[in-house]
Amino acid sequence: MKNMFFLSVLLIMGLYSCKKSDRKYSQVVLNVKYKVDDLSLQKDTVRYLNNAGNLYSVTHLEYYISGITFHEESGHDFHCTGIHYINGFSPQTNQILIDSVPCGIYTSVTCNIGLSHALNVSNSLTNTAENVNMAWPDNMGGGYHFLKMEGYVKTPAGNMGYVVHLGTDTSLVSCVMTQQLYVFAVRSEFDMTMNLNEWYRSPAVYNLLTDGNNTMGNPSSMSKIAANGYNVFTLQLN
Amino acid sequence: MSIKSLSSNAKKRLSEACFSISILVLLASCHKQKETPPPVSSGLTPYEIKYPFTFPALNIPSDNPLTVEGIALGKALYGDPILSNDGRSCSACHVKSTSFSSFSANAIPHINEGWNTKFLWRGGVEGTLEDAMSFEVNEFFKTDVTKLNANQDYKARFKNVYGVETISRKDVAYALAQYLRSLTSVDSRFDRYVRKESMITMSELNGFYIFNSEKGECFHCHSLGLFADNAYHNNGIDSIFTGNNAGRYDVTKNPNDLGKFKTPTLRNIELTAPYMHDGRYLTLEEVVEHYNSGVKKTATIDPIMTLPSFENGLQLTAQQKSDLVAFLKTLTDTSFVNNPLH
Ligand code: HEC
Ligand code: HEC
Repeated sequence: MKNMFFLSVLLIMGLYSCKKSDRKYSQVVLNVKYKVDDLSLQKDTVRYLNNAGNLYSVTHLEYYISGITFHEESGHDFHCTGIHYINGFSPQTNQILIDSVPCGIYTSVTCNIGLSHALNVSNSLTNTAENVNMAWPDNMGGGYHFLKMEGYVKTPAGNMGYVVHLGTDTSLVSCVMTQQLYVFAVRSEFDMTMNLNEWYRSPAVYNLLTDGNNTMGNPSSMSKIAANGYNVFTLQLN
Repeated sequence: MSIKSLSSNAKKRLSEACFSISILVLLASCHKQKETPPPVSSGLTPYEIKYPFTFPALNIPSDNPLTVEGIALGKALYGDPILSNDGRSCSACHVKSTSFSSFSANAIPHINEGWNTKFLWRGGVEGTLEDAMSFEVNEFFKTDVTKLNANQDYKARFKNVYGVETISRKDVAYALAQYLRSLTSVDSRFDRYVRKESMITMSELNGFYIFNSEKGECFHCHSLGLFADNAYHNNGIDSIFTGNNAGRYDVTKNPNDLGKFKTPTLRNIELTAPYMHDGRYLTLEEVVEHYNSGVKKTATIDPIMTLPSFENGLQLTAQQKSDLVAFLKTLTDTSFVNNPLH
């Protein structure tokens, strides 16, 4: 009798978690990883070559992921509301947990690097130390930095700093990850890898020396980088 | 067996079980939520720190809740040479009228330290204020607690605040941490301007614009609110990193850290001359001139410092330089240095 009782508790819990509809749900874990074409990402070494021929290093990488959407074959979309602060060099921020993704077969995942118009307002995010340091000055439009990517780039005269910062509504990055995903397990884990060279590759090659080593005060640099961001991420089954 | 066939008593137990399970699930999923301030023992008066929404959330360790009595005890210790073995007190070098800094020792001011996670110019201590105070008591002052334990007044006060019969160095560090955490500055003329309570001058406003835009780039490291970012940077004051100027490298031995120092807060900067880790600049005008024309490019200079605007210096006009200095002076909080509780 006692066993039966606990069995039914489990049963009810099972039913309860699927109450929303008849569908089952899965917890999806996205492990954010990095590479630069064939090389792994290491802080502080000038050894990466982009399509513009710049030899560069990365010293700093911070950004927000928002608007994660799972697209189903049938055309149904599953939208997530979470905003994720990520620091490429602090591992504990590089895992995105999404509870209750409806089980199914998805054909692609899209997301934004940055914040939607409604959230890109000064002081709209919780005042964590990270969010406070990501503030975009009010006198430059307010809101938050979407991306801070910094390092050094080699020049004939020695290394020079570069500061790729994105912010303001027009530089919101729309990323597309085309990958068939089977989301059926109670917990499904995927790797989401950023290839930093994609920021400089296409649709338009970006040269840190001639297109600008500082994007922040330069709307055309920002929009070029933002457009290149559409394919910085790829998804892999883990 | 279906649910229907359960007795009403069993059904009740079942729903209770489900309820407590869901509470557990809820708790588990909320574990990252900000904790409410820890409770204080009876007989003590809780003390709450108020700060603007532009500050990051303040974390107070659960084993050291702020109380009026604890802060007062910390204050007494801070001003008492009993902590040291050579007649010095903390306040000998950290002088209230200069925002708890001092000209001669170039001591780091104590202002909004509760938000700090990196202590000392090179980050010799990282962690909580309790960790930093533990360093001061154990390493710097090598406090002899037998002297404190021989003092009936201190014994009674420590018993009241921490419930201890014998005072330990940890208790001393904790009381000091309470006091330092209470030293908050949130009422400068600039704060009042942000709260729309008063105006600042046109020159100060122009200076703020330079500070908080690509023109000056200052905000990237001296983030608004705390005017510090709890990080280490090389801001280009040196081209050779030997001796006192090796910076964070002294702690990490990583060549990428050569010449990097903790970003200091700019609050009360008018009161805390001389400037930089070695006090090399005597005036704010000299500091601004450094950023304007003196930045030295080296392998570890912060990328922010080699922006186009820094390529040939900030190229500020004489008027813009004095505007920037004028803005820095709006960060002076006289109510902080005149506060009788401090
Ligand atoms: C002889 C002068 C002197 C005395 C006495 C002294 N300090 Fe300091 N203090 C300094 C100097 C100088 C620094 C900066 C040193 C460095 O970073 O290398 C400093 C730094 C600090 C810092 C780091 C602040 C920050 O934001 O990084 C704290 C905290 C501090 N002192 C607390 C204390 C306490 C508590 C006492 C008493 C137990 C004390 N000091 C006594 C001179 C002094
Ligand atoms: C790249 C980060 C960075 C930027 C940008 C920056 N600072 Fe600093 N600032 C620092 C660091 C780090 C120090 C301490 C350096 C040292 O002691 O050697 C400092 C020190 C100072 C000091 C002296 C503080 C003290 O207590 O001694 C002042 C004043 C100051 N900065 C003002 C400014 C102004 C004004 C600007 C803009 C023109 C600016 N800073 C831009 C990082 C930065």
